[in-house]
Amino acid sequence: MLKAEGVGVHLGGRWLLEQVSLEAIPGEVIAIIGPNGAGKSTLLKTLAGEIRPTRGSVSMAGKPLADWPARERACVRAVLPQSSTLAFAFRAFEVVLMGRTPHSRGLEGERDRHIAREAMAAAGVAHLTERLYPTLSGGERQRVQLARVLAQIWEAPPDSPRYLLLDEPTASLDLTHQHGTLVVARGFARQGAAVITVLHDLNLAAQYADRLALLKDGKLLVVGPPDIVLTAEWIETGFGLQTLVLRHPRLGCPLVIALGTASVLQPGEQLAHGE
Amino acid sequence: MSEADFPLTGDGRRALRTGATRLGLVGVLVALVLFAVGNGAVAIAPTQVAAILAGQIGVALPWAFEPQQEAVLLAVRLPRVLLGALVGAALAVAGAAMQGLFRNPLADPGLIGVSSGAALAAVGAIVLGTGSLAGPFTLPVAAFVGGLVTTLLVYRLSSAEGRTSVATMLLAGIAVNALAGAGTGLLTFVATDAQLRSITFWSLGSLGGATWNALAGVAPPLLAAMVLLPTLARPLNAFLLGEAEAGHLGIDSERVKAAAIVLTALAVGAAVSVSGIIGFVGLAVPHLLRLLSGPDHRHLLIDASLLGASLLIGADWLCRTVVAPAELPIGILTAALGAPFFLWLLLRDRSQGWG
Repeated sequence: MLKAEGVGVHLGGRWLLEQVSLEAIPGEVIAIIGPNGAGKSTLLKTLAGEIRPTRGSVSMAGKPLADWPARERACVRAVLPQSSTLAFAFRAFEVVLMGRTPHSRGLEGERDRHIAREAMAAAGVAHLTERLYPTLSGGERQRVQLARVLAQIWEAPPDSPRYLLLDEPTASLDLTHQHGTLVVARGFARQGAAVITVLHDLNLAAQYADRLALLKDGKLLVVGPPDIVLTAEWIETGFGLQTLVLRHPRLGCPLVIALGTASVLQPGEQLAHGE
Repeated sequence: MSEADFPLTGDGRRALRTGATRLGLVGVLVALVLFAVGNGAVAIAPTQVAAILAGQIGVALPWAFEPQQEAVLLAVRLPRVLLGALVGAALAVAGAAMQGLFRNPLADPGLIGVSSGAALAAVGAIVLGTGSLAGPFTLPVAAFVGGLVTTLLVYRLSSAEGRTSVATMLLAGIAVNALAGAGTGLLTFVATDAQLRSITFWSLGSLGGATWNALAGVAPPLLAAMVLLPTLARPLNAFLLGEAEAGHLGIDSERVKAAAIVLTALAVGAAVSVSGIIGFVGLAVPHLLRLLSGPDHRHLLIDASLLGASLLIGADWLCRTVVAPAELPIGILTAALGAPFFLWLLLRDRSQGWG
């Protein structure tokens, strides 16, 4: 498992994270939620080993992250960045194939190519194989990058679970592909991977995550299943937003309907919405 | 060709294209070497070249040649063409590596200040008379250190919190170039007439100083860059995704950065030390190759050596023949041809995104 214990991150003169403890368990999807600037990406980057915690520690499979040889770590843990600028005219397939970098030296083998094709199919970008990356739309690029990180940890090694870290994987996607992406993430979890994803859309989080971690001002307010975290009280504490939380008529998970912030609402309006 | 009469996947097509590119580049290089060693004030036919070279190892070939031809080939043409090949190859491969490292196809060892830094140090060594410090190696060593220091300076200035800003890098490069230019100007101002001649050589670039000794002095660093930079191909590919992403793919990005910068400074410093500033080879060659066979560094870094060598041999041949018996400094020619190419890239990329 991927485990953060009492993690604090001090950067640029302020604490971006304070006393955060979180455990990603194989087979489970965890969604990190919270307002802008809460430290969601910082937490994901710390779990990925990209940022070294100032306090506390992060360990993977019981071993401190820093003690993992970079290549071994990359064979079991993949990270999808928020956005990725690639100015050079690689074909989408070549970008996905780069995900196989930690698994081989020199040229990729037929096995790597096979995996890259499968990962592209899983991410719904098989039709983009021959397209040049710079000519793709923002959403298409995001899904090609998803295929790349899937290809990186496509096969489960015999002795270690896999970890998939996603930073706002749905940000530039249309509704269909937002769900498509999270279905893929769920599928990975079902195969025994631990998935941690930063999400903005609370309803997506409610629908696909086993547990939610609500961050605010660098502190973890609450961690738990959607029913515990997605209450009107917690959402107002975390986001300063008034919501109506219903039950999803088909899925049974919480369904969050935003009412507005106190400062935006006119007196009396709130009452009308609250009915 | 259409999909129908060529039923290959994109992989196959690109593999075919890279193979054809490689083969073509080797062919062009071999042809240019034979042409350039035989062409000039004293003409030597390719068969005579073969006979002279075979004669060196005691094999007699049935083609007659004059003693003068032998002397010109062995003492003048051969070291000059080989030096051109090495310098061109090293500049091109260093340019390709810099573009990968900075994730910008417009990066060039000249743009980020390494050439001007190397030249400043070399001119400093000429004018301040430190020529005796390390014997004949003073100039190459000074040029190398100058190139390394400026490269590191520009890289430090443009990196913050582990990310390198391309805009800052180019601006820092301009500033460092201007600073080095001021230093070189000051040294030129205080230089004697004899020193001025040497300085002119540095700033305009020339392969005229090619001797077997000069070649032996700079071959190790140039060859090191040509051989070792391609070993960074895969990490550099991953770098194009971003430094953090390369790290997530298991690449030690600090090590790759350090290796690429040291090898580039080594190659460009050595090249500048023996042939002065020769601009635009490092910029234009990788760009041309990406258009031909794609941006994968595993092909690019090797092909860049081949095309860079060909380009400089060809340019040098032009320089010593167009105004014969005088000689045009090669830096003038590469800049005159390279600058319009650079402008074409800018205009083209403005509408299409990076090639």
